[in-house]
Amino acid sequence: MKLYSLSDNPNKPCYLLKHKNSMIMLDCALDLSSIMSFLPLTMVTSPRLSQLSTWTARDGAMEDSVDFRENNGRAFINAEPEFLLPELGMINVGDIDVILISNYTNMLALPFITEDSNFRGEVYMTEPTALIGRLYMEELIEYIDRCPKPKVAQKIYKEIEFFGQLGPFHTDGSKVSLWQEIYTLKNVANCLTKVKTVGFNQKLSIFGNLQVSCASAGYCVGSCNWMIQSDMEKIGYMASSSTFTTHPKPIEHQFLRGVDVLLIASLNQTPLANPNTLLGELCQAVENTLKSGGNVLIPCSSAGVVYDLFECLSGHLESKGILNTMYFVSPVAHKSLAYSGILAEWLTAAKQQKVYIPEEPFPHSHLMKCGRLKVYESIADEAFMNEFHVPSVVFAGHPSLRFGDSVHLMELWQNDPSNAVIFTEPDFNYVDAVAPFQPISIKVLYYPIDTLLTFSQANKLLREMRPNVLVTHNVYNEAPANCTNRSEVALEPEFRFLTVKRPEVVQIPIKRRIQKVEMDPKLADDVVPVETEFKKGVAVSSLTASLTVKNNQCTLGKPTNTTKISHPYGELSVKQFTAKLAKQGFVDIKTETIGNATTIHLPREGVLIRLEDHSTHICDSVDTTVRSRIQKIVLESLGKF
Amino acid sequence: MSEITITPLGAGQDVGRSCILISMGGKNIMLDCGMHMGYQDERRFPDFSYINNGGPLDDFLDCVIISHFHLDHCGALPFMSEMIGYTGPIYMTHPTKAICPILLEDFRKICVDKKGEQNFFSQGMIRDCMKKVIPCNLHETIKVDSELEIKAYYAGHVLGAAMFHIKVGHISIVYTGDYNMTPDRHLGAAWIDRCRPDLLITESTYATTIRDSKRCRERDFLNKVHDCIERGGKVLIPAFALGRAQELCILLETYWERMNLKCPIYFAAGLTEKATNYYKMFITWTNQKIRNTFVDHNMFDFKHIKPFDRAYIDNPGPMVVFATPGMLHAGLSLQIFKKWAPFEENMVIMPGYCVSGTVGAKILNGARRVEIEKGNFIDVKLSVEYLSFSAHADAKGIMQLIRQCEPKNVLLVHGEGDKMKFLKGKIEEEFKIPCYMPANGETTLISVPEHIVLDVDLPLLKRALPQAEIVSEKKSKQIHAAILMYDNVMKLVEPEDALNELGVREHQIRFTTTISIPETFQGSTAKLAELVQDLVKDKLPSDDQETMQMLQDGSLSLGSAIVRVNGFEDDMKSVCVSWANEDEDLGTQLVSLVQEAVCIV
Ligand SMILES: [Zn+2]
Repeated sequence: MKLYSLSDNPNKPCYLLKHKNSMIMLDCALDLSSIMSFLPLTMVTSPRLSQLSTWTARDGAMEDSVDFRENNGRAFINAEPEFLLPELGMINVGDIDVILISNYTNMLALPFITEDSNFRGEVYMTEPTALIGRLYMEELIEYIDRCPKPKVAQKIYKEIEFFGQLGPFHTDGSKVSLWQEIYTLKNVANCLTKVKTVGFNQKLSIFGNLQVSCASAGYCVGSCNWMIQSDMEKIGYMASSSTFTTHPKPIEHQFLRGVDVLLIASLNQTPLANPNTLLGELCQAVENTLKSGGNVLIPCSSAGVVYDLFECLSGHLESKGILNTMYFVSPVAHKSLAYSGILAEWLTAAKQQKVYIPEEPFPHSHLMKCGRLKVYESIADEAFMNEFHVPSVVFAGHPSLRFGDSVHLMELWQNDPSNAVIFTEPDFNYVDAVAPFQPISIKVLYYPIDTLLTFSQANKLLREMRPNVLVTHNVYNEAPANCTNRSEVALEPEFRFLTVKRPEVVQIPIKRRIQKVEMDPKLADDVVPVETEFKKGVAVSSLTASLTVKNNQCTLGKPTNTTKISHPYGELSVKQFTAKLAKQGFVDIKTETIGNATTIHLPREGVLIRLEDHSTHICDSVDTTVRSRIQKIVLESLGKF
Repeated sequence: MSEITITPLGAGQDVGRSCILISMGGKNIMLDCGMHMGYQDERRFPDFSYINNGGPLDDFLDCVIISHFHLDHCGALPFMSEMIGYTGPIYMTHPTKAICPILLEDFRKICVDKKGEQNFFSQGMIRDCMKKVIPCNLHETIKVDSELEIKAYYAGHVLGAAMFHIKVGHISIVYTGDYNMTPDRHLGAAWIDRCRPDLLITESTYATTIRDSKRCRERDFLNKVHDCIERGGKVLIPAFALGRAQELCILLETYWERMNLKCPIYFAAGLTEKATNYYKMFITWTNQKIRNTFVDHNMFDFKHIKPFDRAYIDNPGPMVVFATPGMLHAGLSLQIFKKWAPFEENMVIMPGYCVSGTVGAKILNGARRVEIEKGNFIDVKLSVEYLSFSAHADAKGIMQLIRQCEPKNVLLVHGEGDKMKFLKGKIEEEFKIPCYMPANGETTLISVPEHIVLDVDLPLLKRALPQAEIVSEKKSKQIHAAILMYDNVMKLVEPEDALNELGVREHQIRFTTTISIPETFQGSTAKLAELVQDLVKDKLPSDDQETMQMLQDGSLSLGSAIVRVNGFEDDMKSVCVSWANEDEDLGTQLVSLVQEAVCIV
């Protein structure tokens, strides 16, 4: 079994598992870190951003073809943003049989794969993953389409070993050549027609001999862990799991217990922070900002933690008597909230109970009805302009501050120190996020709400699961040199531990010991169980059968030739044996013992029987009848099956 | 042979009171726990005393599965769990769990508050009963215990209706509950994969009907309603508050919109908004079209349909009223019927099946004078229309489902005996599989072939089948091995490994036979050996020949057997054949071949 690592970001997993002649892709996340090298996109020309000075490379190589801008000591590309794809050069897309997706945050690169004309495979994910994943893709496209920018026509900057030496871009130059512009809405629609939705604990059969199933991972609505299973081995894939209680259905602990191989990805990015404490601090910060007349901008994704933020923040503010409206701005905000109301089966028991009343599982619709939460596609909506009142709390995408309404709000509020921008998404470095806007007076706050498994939670889970082999990204094995508590900052290597990083392949050793074989009931009559005094609780029988293989399944049937073979064991007692011979009518039996060996002579039949340490040798009887008589007596005198 | 036993306590050659007991692989399962609308006495509920000979249900039943929220499938549940006593698991889908307590409470109110029945389950009992319910998702494999697994499939009959695949070890059955194979205005069509159950228990409400096209039936319905209100009449549509009613509402709503009609449409009971909320929340259980558009336009927000008030019954002028219950056996629909029945300009449209004994069934049978309550007869002058709108599979649909899941046996329930007989004949003829139709209380026994699975040591398999053959298609090979039997695992191993596992040493038995050569023999040793070799090639099975080797001293080796010609060129005396016990057949054959060779020479 081989595992290809196609992504270098352990939190944006994309793996390919080659197992038993099948290729299974595990997740297909899109690494968004590249967009931090681009200048933010604005719908209307931003006087400040458009007047940033041109950045000039020291050797002056590129300014003619690419528009580079400089701000506060950092360089940015002034063009349509591009994205780092998984390492597709290592594989042939046409060989992929199945893609398994863990959750909606791990599938944004999917159209790049499925819309490759060679792709023939199937994609499996849960229904919420498909619904919200589509929203994430459409939102990304809308943000970019909204603000047309020159595409970097010749992409000259990719051909030159450029970024590698240039600090100001804060990016890994070696992968720039793999950057690509985003897919189209048509790609997304086509891609999603290849998706088959599955339920938790639904057993899917692929290629006849592999069974695939998923169970709740507890991270977001519909998030799951996968199990790939054959008769012999179980391979678990645990990405983006959480034991922290928010809105999704809790993680199913038992699901991956006792797997042979466990691949683990997407662990907590702020493992030493407590999300509950941070959430409390966030509410407090919002309260303080509003009280002092400032506005709060929370750049965020359009589903997931934001549902919990609405619930917590509205509760906190209400308890403090602050009834300012919260605004939620995203081209998919409305749909995201609508979906959250219909996916009760995928939520915690408490939220599930609500629909039996029937009440909506989240308080959003109540908040919307009483005007505490207002939802808009864009701040350019006429309705938004008419209904917007300050001071306010605005949740807006994109959390990177490179596109979406958060860019405009940032420009609007960045110079007032009573305002605050609060980052909650651990995927983006907030210092990088605000870099193009510098210098700024707005308060920049960072309360990362990361509910993913921390290292200590993962280590604890692993001790319960006891995988034979653990496979993970290199970085999860690397604890800082002088750390005192490894279990909180890295995975503990008490298991058989293999690490892999992009672009690498690891061979995963698995010991196949047994295979299941089906037995024809007719053959069962041939089975005569014998219990021995030597070992209790085990019975044994000899079996002659015909073995057939079809579709990787083995069956045992009735053999054509039905001679039964028995397997004798133990020592033959000379005394008992000769007594039996005599009883069966043999006469003149002569016995001679020398050392361990005994020779029995049957002169009338001309037969010599030589008994020695666990063996009997019957010599010289051309007479088949005599031979079988003796054979029968020997076998009767021995234990056998 | 294992077996499955099936005993319907209800729905055996009958519609109503669905309750079927199954025993398979040592597990006992109850499928549905319904009530019969046609009876007011103890026949209303299944005869639970039949189970476990009246002993505690908990000792006998492993689980109860409810297919959907209709009372003829779940109406006896609180009675069974709270009044007879059952604390085990009850499975149903999320929407069924949400809606079924509402219908139970509705039913309870009619029986206790209106009719003053004693000894009936209480509101608290419904609540306690629902606490025992474990909700299931579509296609999720739920392990009831280590051996019993259930899985729900979409049935398309009402919101949340499911078919269940039930599996114990290698034995499996599918129970359809009520299902519909054609998508309607708010639900999708039933679907199941090719799961090849040993038994399919299917409803057969419309066993003999092949319904005309959906569109025609819809047009028919709309024309009838339109004609009636044109002539100033009132239209009563008795229907369940949830389910069929929503489809008819969607239909009327769009028709009213298109035709610009002003005549009021009412939906009785405060259930409208609640029902609509359920549909909104469980939108993932509706059909694709509604699911795709729900964000922008919710199909269940009706503009033309208003809540009904009892005072409207006597209002003059035309109106259309939806009222529960659907079979005119009690409650508001019966009350309205009583008032409107004596006027011939009015109309009642029965959009679903009515169980015998109900007022609905009586008027559908053409009764013009019916007893509404004891001794209270009314004349039925209004026109009575029947629309087979009820979302059941018709004969074609039932056959289609059988084709989809490929069962080995079929058992019909939830239908009328005569019609079942017809369908049974059709199924047996077309699919060549046995079909059963037990009456209530009658037990059917179905044999299921054993299915034995062994663990095989992989080295053994590899030795038996060289790598290339493991993937190649259908090739059989004879193997000799041993089976080790532990408590619940059987393992196929090499005989040597079995001996090791038992901690004993093999006892080798060997035979050596010397065949003397006549003095007259003239040939050479080599020639004799050659002859034996030729005979072996000629007469022995090819499997045995594969191992044949000529040893350096001129002996022939085959498996454990050795044929040795003793003596030198001119001093030949005998041929020795020696073999181990397990090659008994080979040894005997070799002896006779050598004898043959000696004679030839
Ligand atoms: Zn029904």
